[in-house]
Amino acid sequence: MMPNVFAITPETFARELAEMSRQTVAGVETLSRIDSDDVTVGCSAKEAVWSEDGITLYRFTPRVAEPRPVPLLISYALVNRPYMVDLQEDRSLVRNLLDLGLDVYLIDWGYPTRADRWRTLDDYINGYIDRCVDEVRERSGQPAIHVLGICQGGTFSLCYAALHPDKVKSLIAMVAPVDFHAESGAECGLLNAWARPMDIDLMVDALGNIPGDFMNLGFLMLKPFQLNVAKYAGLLDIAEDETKVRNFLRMEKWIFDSPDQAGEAYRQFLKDFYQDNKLIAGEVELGGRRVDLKAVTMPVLNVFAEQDHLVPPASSLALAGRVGTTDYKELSYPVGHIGMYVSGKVQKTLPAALVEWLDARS
Amino acid sequence: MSEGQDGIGSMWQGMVDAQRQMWSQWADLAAAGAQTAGAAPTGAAPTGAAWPGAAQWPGASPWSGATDAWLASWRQLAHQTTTAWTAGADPVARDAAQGMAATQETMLRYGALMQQAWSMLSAPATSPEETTAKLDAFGRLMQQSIAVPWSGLGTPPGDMNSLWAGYLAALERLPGPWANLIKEVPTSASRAFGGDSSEMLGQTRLLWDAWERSAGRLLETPSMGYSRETTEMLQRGFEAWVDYRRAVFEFSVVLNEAWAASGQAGVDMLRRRAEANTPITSLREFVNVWSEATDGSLEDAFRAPRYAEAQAAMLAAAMRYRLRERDIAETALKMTDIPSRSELDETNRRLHALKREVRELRRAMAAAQPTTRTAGRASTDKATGKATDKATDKEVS
Repeated sequence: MMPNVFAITPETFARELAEMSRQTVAGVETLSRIDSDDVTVGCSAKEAVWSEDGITLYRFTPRVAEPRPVPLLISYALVNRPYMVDLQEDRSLVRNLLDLGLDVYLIDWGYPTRADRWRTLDDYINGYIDRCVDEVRERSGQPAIHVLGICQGGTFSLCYAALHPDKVKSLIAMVAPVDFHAESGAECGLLNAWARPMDIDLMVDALGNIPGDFMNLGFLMLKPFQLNVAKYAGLLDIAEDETKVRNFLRMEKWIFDSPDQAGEAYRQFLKDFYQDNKLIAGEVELGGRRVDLKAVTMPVLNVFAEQDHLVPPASSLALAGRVGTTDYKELSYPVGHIGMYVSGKVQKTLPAALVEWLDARS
Repeated sequence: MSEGQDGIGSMWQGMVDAQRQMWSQWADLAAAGAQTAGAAPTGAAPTGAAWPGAAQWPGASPWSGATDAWLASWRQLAHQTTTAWTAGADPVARDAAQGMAATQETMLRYGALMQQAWSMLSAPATSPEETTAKLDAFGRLMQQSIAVPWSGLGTPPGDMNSLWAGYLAALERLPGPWANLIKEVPTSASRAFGGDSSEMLGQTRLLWDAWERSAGRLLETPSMGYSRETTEMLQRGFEAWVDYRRAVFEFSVVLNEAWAASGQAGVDMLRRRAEANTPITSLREFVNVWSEATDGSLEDAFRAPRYAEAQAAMLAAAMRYRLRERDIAETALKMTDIPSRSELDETNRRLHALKREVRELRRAMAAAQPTTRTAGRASTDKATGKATDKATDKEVS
């Protein structure tokens, strides 16, 4: 006879239920004490130095007397808010980079409104990113600056670097999708698989901007049980620790803080990149110019997450051999997509690795 | 755990005690919340001595057969208590509290099911096949008992009358006082769309009568009358609605298959654990391993072209319906001289094109200047150019 798969005594089961209830009640009490001031995000001091159409360029206040002369500009994805890179003091890529002496700038893409529905990828890449780069160059007096592009922002940065190589001293692409059809089949990213048969034109025509909630629903469906049940079960374990609960809430805030996507930019990104995979074929056109990855001639550091379920490693690794520089290096960590910014272990080594790589190329 | 009826009875008694304690804790929180927040949960909060329906199950667990009713009562108390307690908290904290309470409910449901599984499996099986059959039955029970995230999707397209009623309900979201009056359209729409033009004419007339009785009269605009275009617009909307309902149903079929397969993956996991003699030792472990197994199965299903295509088809049908819906709404807006979404979009498109043009002109002008915009810009702009550029930027944006 097969043994019973459940080996639980009535006493331990009853105790577990009672403890779970006690934790939930305690958790509700803890959460009731947390007002808006307790769930702050973006821990590092910064000032807005440029703004246009609801898009803001921030300069973080340096944390060393003499920061390195060549600044670093961070370009984040459009689909979530960029404060993930500066979530809280002990989980901040930005703060660690500042402490290591970098002069750090960040583009905040804001929240596109319906008036921004016609904004294109050309506007984002040859427009806003270019003007931000010019602003940073102007303020620093440097002819070219370092660029760090994250996720979709990494793809944008690659395009930008290909079109404006003279303004980019070195490029770091972090968890950036490059080959949108990489590893078809079992290892194919779910977002890639879902995007391919979608009628993107119809979506944009009907919706204008693509609602952030629509994007969020897709992300939550990637792992329905773990993201909707197991996550909150994990919250029970920390329910009485206000500090940990605040950390949890910062992540929650970020996860559900999804701006709408400007319609025309979404249309082109989904069709040209996700569906037609034009980037690696050298067929993406922006502002009438073809994006040729061979034109990326500055040093490139490709950082990817080995357990990334949003951007499969193979998608990022496709960059190897496709850029026009021999100074190309890869760096990976055994974490998921989000772990790259918030994992304590990653944050212990990643910032120093980035700065060391940049120093050798400054 | 000892096997047999004594064990089951003992387990139930333990759960009764645990639940009693749980109600007590929540009732205490509710009472304190009422004092603190001044927002008492409505309804009678159960005392620590009993839970709703306790009298119906004297000496036994309410999970002995009425889990849903019991959980519904608990859900109400937990929701109200959580809402009252976190009323002044950060919105993210409020949502997290609700998520946590909902998870407790899910865990309780898992606990009930686990207890049932334990009961099913505790009786000696006469063959491996019987054990397998029991596990399969348990898998089905699990999948039926856990709230399906997409519940409500699985309704097949009904007859024309019910579809028409659904279409009208959807149209309620549209603006204009006349929109609600569309509901007066007779439910004999099936005949109309089946080719009976007199029915269609009657419905269209009713629509425009509604218009004239409401906004039309109010604004003293001339009667618009009904037209072939209007009739066609309504019919196209209805057809899009039917297509949407069909696509939703077809998608739900694929989803339900994925859901069933994920349950089987959970059962397979349980079987492997049993065969390897690595039993599950806590409710939390059960939730974790079940979630992991089912999520993995769902992920495989979600990645399949069939799923992606059904999802895309549903989305496309929803978008086509939305466009038809907009046609109808914009017709009403035009009559009331209110700008429509399409008109605003067109205005924004022109503004956007103009802004791009201005920027390109500025770029061309800057390129024509003898000074460069790179390192040279820093020194040049510090003197004059920067202020000019910024001012222009703000004007343009």
